[in-house]
Parts: sequence; C-alpha cells; structure tokens
Amino acid sequence: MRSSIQRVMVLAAALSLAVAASAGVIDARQTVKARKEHLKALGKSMKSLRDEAGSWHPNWASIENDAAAVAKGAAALPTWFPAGSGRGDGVKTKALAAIWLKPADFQNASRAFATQADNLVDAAKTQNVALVRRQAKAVGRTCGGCHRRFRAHFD
Amino acid sequence: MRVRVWDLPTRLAHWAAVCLFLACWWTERHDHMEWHLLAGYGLLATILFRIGWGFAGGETSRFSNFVRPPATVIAYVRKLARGARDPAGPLGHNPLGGWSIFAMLGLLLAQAGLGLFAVDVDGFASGPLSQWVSFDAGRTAAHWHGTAFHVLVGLVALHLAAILYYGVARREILLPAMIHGYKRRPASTAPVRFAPWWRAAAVATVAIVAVLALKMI
Ligand code: HEC
Ligand code: HEM
Repeated sequence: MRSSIQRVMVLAAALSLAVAASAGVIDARQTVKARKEHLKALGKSMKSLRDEAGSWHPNWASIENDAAAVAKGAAALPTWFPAGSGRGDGVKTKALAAIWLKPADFQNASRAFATQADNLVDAAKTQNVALVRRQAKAVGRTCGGCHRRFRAHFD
Repeated sequence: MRVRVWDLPTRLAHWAAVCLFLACWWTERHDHMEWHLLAGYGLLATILFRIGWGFAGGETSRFSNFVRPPATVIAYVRKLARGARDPAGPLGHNPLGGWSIFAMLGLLLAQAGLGLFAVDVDGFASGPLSQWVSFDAGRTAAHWHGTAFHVLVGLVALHLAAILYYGVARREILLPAMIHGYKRRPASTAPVRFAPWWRAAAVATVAIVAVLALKMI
C-alpha cells in the first residue's frame, strides 16, 4: 500500500512549492511597483529640468537638483531590474525578457545613460542654457534608446 | 455633364490629412518622435485650415452645407434603406456623410490638441504646451491621445466602408471626385459656388502662423 503518509508528503511538497511561487509573484509585484515609481520620478525630473531650461528665467538651483536626481537614478537603475521581474513572471510590466537574455546589452544601455546623466550634472553647473538643453536631449536619447529595445509598447 | 464639386484647397487638405495621418502613425510606432511632432504640427495646420475653409470656402466645403439637422439625416437614411438611387442627389456630402466628416475633423482636432499637452516617457519629446502641466497630467494626455487615435482609425474604416458601399451597392463612385474635383450630373444641375483663391491663401496663412506660434513657445 502506497502509504497515505507518502501522499500527504507529496501534497505538502506541492503546496509549499505553490506558496513559494506565489510569494515570488508578490515579491515581483512589489519590485515592479517600486521600479515604476523610480522611473516615474526620473521622468518628472527630466520634464522639470527641460521646462526650467526652456523658461525665460531658469531656476538654476532647480536644474542642478533635477540633474543630480537623474544621475542618482541612472546609477541605481540596474538594481531596479532583478531577475524574475519581467513579462511572463505574472506581473503587469513592460520590461521585456531581453533585459535578462542579453544582460551585456542592458548593461551598456544603462551605462550610456549614466554617462550622459553625469555630463548633464556638469552641464547644469555651467549655467549655460544651450548646453543644458543639448545635454538633456542627449540624455533623453539614451532613455529612448533603452526603451526601444527593452520596453514593450503595450503591457 | 461634368460639374465641378470639390475645389482644390479641399482636395489638397484631404490628401494632406491622409498622408500626415499615416506619417503620424508610422513615426510614433517606430519611435521617431521628433518627426512625429513635425507631422503632428502639419496635420494640425491642415485641420485648422479645413475648419476655416468650412466657414470661408466653396459651397460644398462649408459646414453650413453639409452639417444637417437630424430630421434631414433620418429622411436620407430612409431613402437609402429603400435603395432609391438618385442621379441628381447631393453634389457634395450627403446628410449622413456630412456628420462623419464633422466627426473626423472634430476628433482630429481633439487628437492634435491632446498631443500638444502630451508628455513622452522619455520626458523629452513632449508637446509644446506640456510645460504648463504636471508630468502625470501630461502622461494622461498622452494616454487619451492614444485612445483618440484608435477611435479615429475606427471612423476612417467606417469612412472607407461607406465609400465602398456607395460604389458597389449604389454605383456612385465617389473617389475620383476627391482627386480631380468633378462629378457627372444632368445638364440642369445648378453650378456650385466656389471661393476665390486668395481666401484659401488667407485661411492657410492664419492656420500656418497659428501652428508656428505654437511650435515656438
Ligand atoms: C537601461 C534601460 C533604461 C533606461 C536607460 C531608461 N529606462 Fe525608462 N524604462 C525602462 C524599462 C525596461 C521600462 C519598463 C518598466 C516596467 O514596465 O516595469 C521603463 C519604463 C519607464 C517609465 C514608465 C514607468 C511606468 O509607470 O510604467 C518611465 C516614466 C521611464 N521609464 C522614464 C525614463 C527616463 C525619463 C529615462 C531617462 C532619463 C529612462 N526611463 C531611462 C528601461 C530604461
Ligand atoms: C486612404 C484612403 C482614403 C480614401 C480613398 C478617402 C476618400 C474620400 C472621399 C472619396 C471623400 C469624399 C466623400 C464624399 O464624396 O462625400 C473623402 C472625404 C473626407 N475624408 Fe477621406 N479618404 C481616405 C482616408 C481618409 C483619412 C485617413 C482621413 C482622416 C484621417 C480622411 C478624412 C476625410 C475627411 C475629413 C473628408 C471630408 C473632406 C472635406 O470635405 O474636406 N479620409 N475621403
């Protein structure tokens, strides 16, 4: 007789696997939520910086602040994408699997962004509007460059 | 007899709108946002021109001529349902089609208007008026900008289906008239009154200056 103990053990194992998996999903959900908050903050900083640089009397303290926030975000960005937080992991996200399939490419995209963001911090210090605008555009291109390859158009 | 139905400004505006609409769609889908904005400004100028022409243009292009009261539309639909063919029927837009034109123009205007406030995720390819709204409001505008596009695609599909229906079921081929401007009609048909060319130039100038001003702020 295959003992009922064995059956219970198999059931328990299956159950704990399911619990672990759903815990993973909950974790991933929180990761994605936090990530989207970080990215939205990046978008806000970029917008605020661009608006300020386009205004008649740019507030340079605000521009330097935004540039610093973007650079800080750029340095942290790779940590916002732990494995298991992409599409197909049971979460609502536009993060494509390519992020984890081609980690070197994703690293390069993050690094390009960080480099341009650091240049933006330097540009902000010069208080040269034309330079800041040009550099903001260069940063924007690195955002777009990464989104084109690693962010889905639709959820 | 060949009678002139659509004036050149109306036809040019129509085909410019088609090309620019496709351009707006294609450039957005392929992430060429700088070009998307340029095509959008062009489409906005075209729509503004066409709306102005709806008040200042030739008889068949005027809103007063083709936006008809509901009773007229219902009577027309009844006639359509009976399958009656009328070789001397409306020269310009019919009462039903007129509303579809009105809807397309209105929605295109709304679409372009939302685009002016829209903020791109990258936070850098954004509408010229977005500087006065928050990031979240700009993202919401971008969201509705996308929704409006999908409704427009539906309207365009309806527009094309209607033209096909008239051609196949009623043997009224509408397309050539939008290209060369003429339709075949009995000799007794009263000629359409058109507007002088300088009026088109004036309306176009206003539309273009308005859009350039928007682009530069
Ligand atoms: C190295 C890649 C990369 C770079 C660089 C990058 N992003 Fe993103 N971004 C992503 C990915 C992937 C997503 C999709 C995240 C998701 O849906 O979970 C995203 C999503 C976003 C979102 C949408 C968040 C939401 O609420 O859904 C915003 C806003 C955003 N990014 C802003 C920016 C800005 C602004 C920059 C540049 C200053 C930037 N990103 C640079 C990869 C990147
Ligand atoms: C691509 C194929 C298309 C064809 C073949 C086509 C054809 C036509 C035709 C034949 C008319 C005249 C209808 C009539 O006689 O009552 C017309 C009018 C119109 N169409 Fe289209 N159309 C096309 C696409 C579009 C698109 C994409 C838009 C908008 C985005 C559009 C907007 C309009 C408008 C606003 C009018 C009214 C024209 C005016 O009075 O100024 N069309 N079209």
